[in-house]
Amino acid sequence: MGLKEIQEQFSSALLDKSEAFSLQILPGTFQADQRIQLYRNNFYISLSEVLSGVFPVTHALVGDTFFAQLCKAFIRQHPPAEGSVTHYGADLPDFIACLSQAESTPYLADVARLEWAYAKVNEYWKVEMPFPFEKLALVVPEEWPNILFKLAKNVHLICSDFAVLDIVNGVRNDCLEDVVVAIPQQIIISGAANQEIQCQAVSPPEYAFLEAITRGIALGETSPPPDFEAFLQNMIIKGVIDDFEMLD
Amino acid sequence: MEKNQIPAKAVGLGLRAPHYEEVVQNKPKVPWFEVHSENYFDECGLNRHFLREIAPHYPLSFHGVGLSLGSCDELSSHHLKQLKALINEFQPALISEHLSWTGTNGQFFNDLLPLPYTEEALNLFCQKVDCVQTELGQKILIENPTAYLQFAVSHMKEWEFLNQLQARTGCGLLLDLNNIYVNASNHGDSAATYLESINWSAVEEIHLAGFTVNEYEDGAILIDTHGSRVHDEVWALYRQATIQTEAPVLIEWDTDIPDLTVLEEEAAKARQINAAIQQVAAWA
Ligand SMILES: [Fe+2]
Repeated sequence: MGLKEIQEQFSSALLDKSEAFSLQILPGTFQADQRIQLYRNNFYISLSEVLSGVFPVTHALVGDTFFAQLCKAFIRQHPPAEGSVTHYGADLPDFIACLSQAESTPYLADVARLEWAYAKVNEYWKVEMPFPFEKLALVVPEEWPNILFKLAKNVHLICSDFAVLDIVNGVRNDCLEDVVVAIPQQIIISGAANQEIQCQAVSPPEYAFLEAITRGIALGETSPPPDFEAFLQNMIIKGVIDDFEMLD
Repeated sequence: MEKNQIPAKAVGLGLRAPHYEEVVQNKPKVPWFEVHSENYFDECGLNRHFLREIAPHYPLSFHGVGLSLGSCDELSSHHLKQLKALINEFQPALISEHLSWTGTNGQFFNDLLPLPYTEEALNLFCQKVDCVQTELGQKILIENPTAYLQFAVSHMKEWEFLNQLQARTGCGLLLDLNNIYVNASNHGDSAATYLESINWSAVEEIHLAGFTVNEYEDGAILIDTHGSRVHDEVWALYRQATIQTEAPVLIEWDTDIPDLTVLEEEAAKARQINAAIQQVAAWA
């Protein structure tokens, strides 16, 4: 048997227990399938641990048994596509969204989305990026419509039909009973330098504005939310908006 | 001595996230640190930030787990590019990878999977090592892995495979004594023969780590969990190894990571063995 065939059979055996495994392995105290089971366990357990580390609230919401099954199904269908597991789990929220077993918990995919964003912000080193206020002061009022505000690099926006931030906080603080789930929530996750990660809910117009600037839309083309100045200042202080440019 | 050189027989530690703050603040007296390269690929990542804080004070070794050199897939140019950028920034003293594969057909298994020791695998592995060394413009070390099975098609011993790989590519060897012990126990091989047969002049780094024992009805299997102190049997192998080589040695600990003081105790043990061997040599 050649190397390629060995590797393909080994892979099939790791992914699927039922796969016929005809690798020729030297006999010893343990049978071939017992030996492969060691590798299979390591594959599923190590990646399940990676996923549990990134999605602790999702894990807590569904419990150990369901989470283990979820991981197993996900890992089988989406094994890592690279040698490093740093980005592993990005597809889990979409996977949950398509899962019939998760139909009774329709908020679960968005909870996972929030957790993924949180993990990404957490891994990111927050470089101090002072907002260029002096440069902004030089912009004359006629030019304001051409301002394009910039979201900081480590900002994520999540729009859900459910109160996912309240759910996540409820699990973290062990007070889930009080949470009204079926309320839409728009959330910003950000991490400014020297600050704890910020997860905050914003109003629909505020969310729409932030979402518009991610698409490169200038101030004049957006509908700024009410009390725009205070909102902008808050977003700058929290490191959500850290720069601007002038579009012509 | 240059900043990025590791002194002979120096006992280094694996740098892991739980120790970042302490290392940055207290600058413990550790002669060198080894890191898992892939954890530092992201240039904006928190890990990379800490490495930038720590690197000016210690020589480094970059130990890769994800290049999958033994795979029939092409080398990942993306992976190699990130590794190269990391090396360019930090100029590590040593760069290493494993005698294994981690994935095939674009699917990866987060593990160091065993190779059959055949001429075909040797040719492929030599080609990959040549390719990496050319791309990086420097030598890499290849580490002996653990394997929980042996392929019937293998017609070489692992040390034979490594010696030939080294002779054909000019790579260095990273000898993990724990892995040698674990494999010897699991497969009924002789660790002593391994140590007698390996080409010591090519060994540029030694790994020491702990294993756990999985008990089954039919018997026990040792697993290289890297989650405990070095076992006495592995210290015994180190006594033999340190007569043969001046290579630096690493205390490798990857799961259930303890306080830095525990790692330093293990390092002190290795230093004591070195000192004792040196004394014996002086008398002789
Ligand atoms: Fe090792």
